[in-house]
Amino acid sequence: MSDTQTRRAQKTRRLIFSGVFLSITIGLLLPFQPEVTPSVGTKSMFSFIENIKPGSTILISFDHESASFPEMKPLAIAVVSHLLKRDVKIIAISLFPEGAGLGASLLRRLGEENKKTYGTDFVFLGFKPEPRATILGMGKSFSFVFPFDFYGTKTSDLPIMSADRYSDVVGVITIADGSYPSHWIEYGAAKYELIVLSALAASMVTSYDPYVTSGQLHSILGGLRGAAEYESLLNVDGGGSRAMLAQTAAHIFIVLILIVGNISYLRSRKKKV
Amino acid sequence: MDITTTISALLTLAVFSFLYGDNPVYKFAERLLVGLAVGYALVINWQQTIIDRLYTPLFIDGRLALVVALVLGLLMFSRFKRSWAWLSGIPLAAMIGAGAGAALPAMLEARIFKQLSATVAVFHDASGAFEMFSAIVLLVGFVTTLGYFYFGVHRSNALAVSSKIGSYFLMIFFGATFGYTVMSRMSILIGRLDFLMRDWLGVIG
Amino acid sequence: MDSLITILATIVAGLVTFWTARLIHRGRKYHLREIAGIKALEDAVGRAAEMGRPILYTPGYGGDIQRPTTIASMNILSVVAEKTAEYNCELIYPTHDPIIMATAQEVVRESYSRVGKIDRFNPDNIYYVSSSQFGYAAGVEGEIVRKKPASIFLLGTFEAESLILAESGAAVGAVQIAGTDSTIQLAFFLIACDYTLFGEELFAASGYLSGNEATLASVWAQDIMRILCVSFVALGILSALFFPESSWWKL
Repeated sequence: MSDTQTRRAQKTRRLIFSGVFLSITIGLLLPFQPEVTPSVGTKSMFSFIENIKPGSTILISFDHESASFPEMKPLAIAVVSHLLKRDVKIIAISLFPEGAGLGASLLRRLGEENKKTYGTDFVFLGFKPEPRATILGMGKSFSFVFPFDFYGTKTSDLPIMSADRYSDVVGVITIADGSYPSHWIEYGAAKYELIVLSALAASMVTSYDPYVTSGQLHSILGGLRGAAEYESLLNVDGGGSRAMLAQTAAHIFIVLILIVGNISYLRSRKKKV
Repeated sequence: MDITTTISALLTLAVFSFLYGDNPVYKFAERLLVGLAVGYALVINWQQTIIDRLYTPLFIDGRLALVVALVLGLLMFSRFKRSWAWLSGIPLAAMIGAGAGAALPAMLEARIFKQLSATVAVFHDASGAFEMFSAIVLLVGFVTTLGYFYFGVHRSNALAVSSKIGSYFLMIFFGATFGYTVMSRMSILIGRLDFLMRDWLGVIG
Repeated sequence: MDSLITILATIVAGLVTFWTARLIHRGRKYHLREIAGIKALEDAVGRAAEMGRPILYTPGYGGDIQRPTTIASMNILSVVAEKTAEYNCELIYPTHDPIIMATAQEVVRESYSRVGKIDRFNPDNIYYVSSSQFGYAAGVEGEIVRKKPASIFLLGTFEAESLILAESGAAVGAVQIAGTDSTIQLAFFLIACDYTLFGEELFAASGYLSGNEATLASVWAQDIMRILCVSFVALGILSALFFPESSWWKL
């Protein structure tokens, strides 16, 4: 690439970035939200949680890092709040070191907001390395893999830990930004018949759709859009709903850029011919 | 507004400054991120793995079987001395062997058997013309995409055509994935801008 | 029942691989179709030599040393390192995993020693960045922007960092050869890289370049297993359509 071309590319790049920034900012500042219609996957996860018997226990795994937290946070808040409102007990873990810190603070905050007691209604067990070994080990006993919770309390002293194996929980919800739902499907579902649900970063949705078709994954809640759909079912105004106008504006801008880019590419090809 | 919000906001802006070009502020943020991530992982691993899973059960609860894990773990450090480096192959071999052993049946079942069955089940469960059409599209996609990844032999015309069709199916998948990823990345940017304008500057109510 | 099927399938796969390995060992030729990315490997090293700029090779964030993709990537690294030694190019290898780092150091050391250039081998160029995904991505991205490598090899298991790295490489005008089995990341490599090895093309490339009999035999065996999978689905569909009560295909 010549220097002139590099400079031009750099200029175009900055223009695109500015356009994206501007469209998102306008979308965030405008005081209205587009309506969203819940998809089949969102409805399926909602009805799964809606039908859990109060007092049952569920496993939640915060399988994401801080970089994707802006996308994962609305998903996690929507799902965890729904579970707590339904009086479902939560045993939470993380297969990522960063997910541990983020999951612990989010769960603690939502637990307090919903007036739940730590250790009885919810617990955060923390992080363990080697996801395969962790998932397989938990098939034997949760407290074997996590002898202490995230805050150093012996797990056997916590009342919620009477649920100590997969057969004691209604399923697992993996809140993931990468490929970790595969581990839950391959080791949790295949070996222990654990029901796996996933709140996923949008980028992973196409990878996990085949698992929903085959019945290995119960349902997927995908990206900010999924969070907005879930919030509409819960009738709350959360991070997902608030972001929908900004996301729509950004998508329109990207589509326009794609059209302009393709036209200019075709024209430059014609010139060369 | 607390000090952590301001620190967080300033670091976000420092990373955004890379969009203009590489600069010392970005370099500072980048190195801070790398350093913090390593430090954080070290602390979490130390407490939740070394202390909780090894030190306490072995030295306080007296579970002697963990000596094996301790020795295997220590052998990993032998690679720092060239003449002892071969010893690190032992825990490495154990890890690879156990990992592959656990992965093989799980992957075969979850990624191959269940998916093959699901491909057949779509035909079995198809109840109308549209569903049967979808099933046929799925089958064509399945066969031709596998055809694309057929590496052996000089191709016959049929295989070449199948492979070409397979590559179109792959492109459709890549296109859909790319669209979803753009959506994902935009979500992250929206989250960050929302944080800057709502939590830091307070310009959104 | 599930375990029985798994054991049977493992035995069949093992026998097929054993059979193809024996055939190759006895001198039977296995013709691999042409893969564009393989040819480009040598050109990419040559380009770096001509421009006097380094080569950056990274195996992605998603893999560990147990993954076949990482091992395939190591096979290719061995060939690339041999060429960088021959052409006197600087080879930079950042990674997220200390074990991968140690293995890569050994692989590159061997390659340099094979062509008699062990004095040019610099272990500090093969280094650990961070175990955090975006810490690793930021570190490698910074390296790309500052060192402006002439050629970049992104071969291994990649996750969300793929587009960040490939985009940075494209921005500095590097020739980029990517290859991964992470289907989702292929979309980004296709857009931002010059050559992309799709999924198993990476294993095939590794077998082709290394000339390793076992790797070639496994690529051949996979071809046969693919035929078996298609046959299973074909028979299953016929059975499901004409004998709806049948259920043998429900694995």
